Amino acid sequence: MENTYDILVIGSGPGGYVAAIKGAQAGKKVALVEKTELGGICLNWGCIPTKALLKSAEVFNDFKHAAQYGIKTGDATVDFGKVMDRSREVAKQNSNGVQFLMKKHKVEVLKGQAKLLAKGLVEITTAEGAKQTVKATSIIIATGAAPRQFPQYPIDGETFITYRHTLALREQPKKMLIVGAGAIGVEFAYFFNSIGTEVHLVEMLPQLLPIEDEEISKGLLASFKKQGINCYLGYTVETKAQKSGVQVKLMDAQKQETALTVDKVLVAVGMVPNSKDLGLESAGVKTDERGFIKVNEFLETSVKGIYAIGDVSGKQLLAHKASAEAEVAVAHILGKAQHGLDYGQIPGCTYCQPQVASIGLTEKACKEKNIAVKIGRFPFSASGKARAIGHTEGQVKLIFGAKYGELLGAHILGSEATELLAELGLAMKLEATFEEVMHTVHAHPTLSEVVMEAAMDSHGLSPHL
Amino acid sequence: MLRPDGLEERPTMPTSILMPSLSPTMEEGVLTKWLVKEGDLIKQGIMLCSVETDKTTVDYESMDEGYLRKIVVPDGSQAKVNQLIAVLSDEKDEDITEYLKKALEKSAAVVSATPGPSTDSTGSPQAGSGTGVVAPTAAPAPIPSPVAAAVPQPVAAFGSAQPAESSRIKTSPLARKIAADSGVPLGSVQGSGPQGRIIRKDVEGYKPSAANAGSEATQALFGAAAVAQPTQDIPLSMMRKTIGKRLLESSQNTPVFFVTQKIEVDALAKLRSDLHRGPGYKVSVNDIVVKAVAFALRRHPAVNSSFYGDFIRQNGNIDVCVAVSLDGGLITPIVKDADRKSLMAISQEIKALVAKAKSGKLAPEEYVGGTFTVSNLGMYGVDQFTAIINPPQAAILAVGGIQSEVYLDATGTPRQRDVMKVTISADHRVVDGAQAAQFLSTLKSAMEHPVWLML
Repeated sequence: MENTYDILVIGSGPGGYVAAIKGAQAGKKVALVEKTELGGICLNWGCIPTKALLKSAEVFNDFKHAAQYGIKTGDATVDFGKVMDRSREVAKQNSNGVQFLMKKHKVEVLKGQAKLLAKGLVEITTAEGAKQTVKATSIIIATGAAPRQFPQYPIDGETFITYRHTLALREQPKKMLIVGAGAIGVEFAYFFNSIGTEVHLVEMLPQLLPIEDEEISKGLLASFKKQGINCYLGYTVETKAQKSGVQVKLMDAQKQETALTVDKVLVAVGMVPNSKDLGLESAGVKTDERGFIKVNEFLETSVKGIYAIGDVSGKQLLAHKASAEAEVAVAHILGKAQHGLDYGQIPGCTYCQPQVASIGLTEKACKEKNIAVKIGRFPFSASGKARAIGHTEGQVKLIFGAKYGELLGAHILGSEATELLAELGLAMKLEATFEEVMHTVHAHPTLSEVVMEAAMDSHGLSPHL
Repeated sequence: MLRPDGLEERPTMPTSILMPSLSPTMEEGVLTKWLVKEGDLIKQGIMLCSVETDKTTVDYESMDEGYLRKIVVPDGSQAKVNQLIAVLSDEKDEDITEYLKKALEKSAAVVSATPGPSTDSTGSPQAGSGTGVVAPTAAPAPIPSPVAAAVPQPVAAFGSAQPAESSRIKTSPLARKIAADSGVPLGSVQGSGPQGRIIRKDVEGYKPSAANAGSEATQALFGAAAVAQPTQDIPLSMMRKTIGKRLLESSQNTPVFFVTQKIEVDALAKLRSDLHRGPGYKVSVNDIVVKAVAFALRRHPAVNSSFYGDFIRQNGNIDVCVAVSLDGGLITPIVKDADRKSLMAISQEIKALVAKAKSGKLAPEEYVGGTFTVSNLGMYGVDQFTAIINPPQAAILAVGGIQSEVYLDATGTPRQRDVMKVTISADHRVVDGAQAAQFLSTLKSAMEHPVWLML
């Protein structure tokens, strides 16, 4: 038994690599186990490469609308291969960035698959089959999640694909069915539709982005329809693979059928935690019925000294949640954690155009919780800056408590929504009320004025409505 | 400092004029303008200077006599409460060099003894507030050498007084609103945010700590007797002056009459012990009195009135002032809309207001106004007393202590019960005797059937 660490982190995604650095910064001896590329899904097959694709779509859309800004262009066309190459290159650069950070913080990277043998004891098997056993005082499991498999969608990587296969496509699909209108489905729908694929987006629930505020989702639906995306909300779907493409039968609540044939089916429904084959049982780490590792407020599992952060321990499956949990878990290991994360204050962002960003409660959730609210809205169309840049779609919707005026929820649909959300996260964290948001002087002309105006509108004080 | 009283022979001595505390919350002020100049003969009652406090600008009236020899804090400069601002002397050309040097050193201790989380007492407005005189007992302790070393030239420290950081409570806007609404004193809340910042859950989870004043009182009783006390003339603080002026005016100008009522408190005592044993919350007798007074006022609006010379205002709100004794006097913070608050809410609010009052942190809106006052000396074991009306209010209730008595029940059998006496002082221009008696009758019924107050 040679190697002993203070902290061993399993998985190098935005949860794991941040945990490793935080531990190292506190002077701990840290090792990070990764079986594939550093950076996890986020950097390699998720957040980052998809944002690269979406930028290509936006650039192409800008060209399509160039005339409206007084710019003459020739016929712009999409070089699908180059678009995909750029996305891969961006991912690779980011992964290299993580490698550099590990070196800088003296985190030892152990390549291979980790398996808990017992509390504090981990076996690591490399791709070649070489095994080594390491000891660690604290272990942080950050192995993430993977797409859920459904028997009716036999993922083959060819016609039935996941986000991961999609990011590796070399040929642009002509006709595509996207199953699931969560963030992944919606972003790919926007991307493929923008570059000229015929997109059919189906969702079992009655709204796009089902976890978002209904009003915001309706706004996005209107925009998606205008962009030419075929949306089927509240539909069930049956598929049948054939020699040339897949036959699709879509059925609405009234059993009305729509039939079509597509060449690819992107399945973007549900994730399952990567909690199998980790040896959790041998260490005594408990999972829930869906396989998510059970943790307490400080992300500690049923076994003292073993932590689980990010997707593998459930709640919101979001990269920034994983990174934030990394901080809590490491602080707890160091004996410095005061309290866990407030999971009611995790922002959620979707990067289609117009973008969707939100934090806190939706209007419906407030109703269900019987919270009296005051709601402020402000449309981008009433913003000078939005007009100037030609992105007038969407609105800001802010929900404040009626009694004290605290910010309960912020929902933005529109250009740069994901960037505009940050100040509202801060407001929520600092327990600001509508008055602080409203009395913060926002520079003119900026899109952020829309946020201020919405705060004013919550009490009927907007001068521009 | 002892002032010449004719009985004691002592050499003439200069007198320090200190920055007065002009409001309970004042920690420092800006001396906007001197209204007199060096060399002037100052008489008692003369306006010395204008002082801008956190709330308003006030002219500072001299409590002393003598020649203004030295202005230490010039026009437009900030000074902390009790900081030396000028020196008077009895003789026009008396040598004050030595005195000035010592006074400046003392003052430097006042100035430097501020920020830091635990030095709350320096902000206390009661200590020698607004006296214009340095009384040896009230003056800051002799400066320890580290302070002197830190301020080698005391004069240089003046004029650049730091902002009153110690009074700033780190809190979120939401926590502040909730605290204001629920009467939680932010000053006594332990913050759980970064660097002790008070956030929502801290205010919502706040529990006032139990009073632990008993042993101190005993100590004061016996401790004080052991030390011989010199005869001294104590100058009037701003608070004493205000108390004197208002109450003199009230007792001279109000045709007041008194009505006393005896109230049986056995049911009330049972309620208290039930609340304590059940929900574990201790309500005081006074909390119940305030709640019952509000209950009775709602039914006798004439008593909940104010007299304004040519009209009587029958108040719609029932804002009950509760007299709180302080070191240097008393103050009457207000339980607003007491009739609409639960006993628990009233109890918590009174605790919070008393804590604020004792630490001098009441905001004006918390003690200015009110429609009726309750003054309770029951805790001192008094049987009954009368109180002076706090104008423009029409009445005040004086609450005595609980006494056991033997009485004859309906069958003529002697029994024991606990009673308390309350006495209303009412302004006859507003309230008539019968109205006062009816009010007391309702109050008696409510306190003898305290379950009414739970509705």
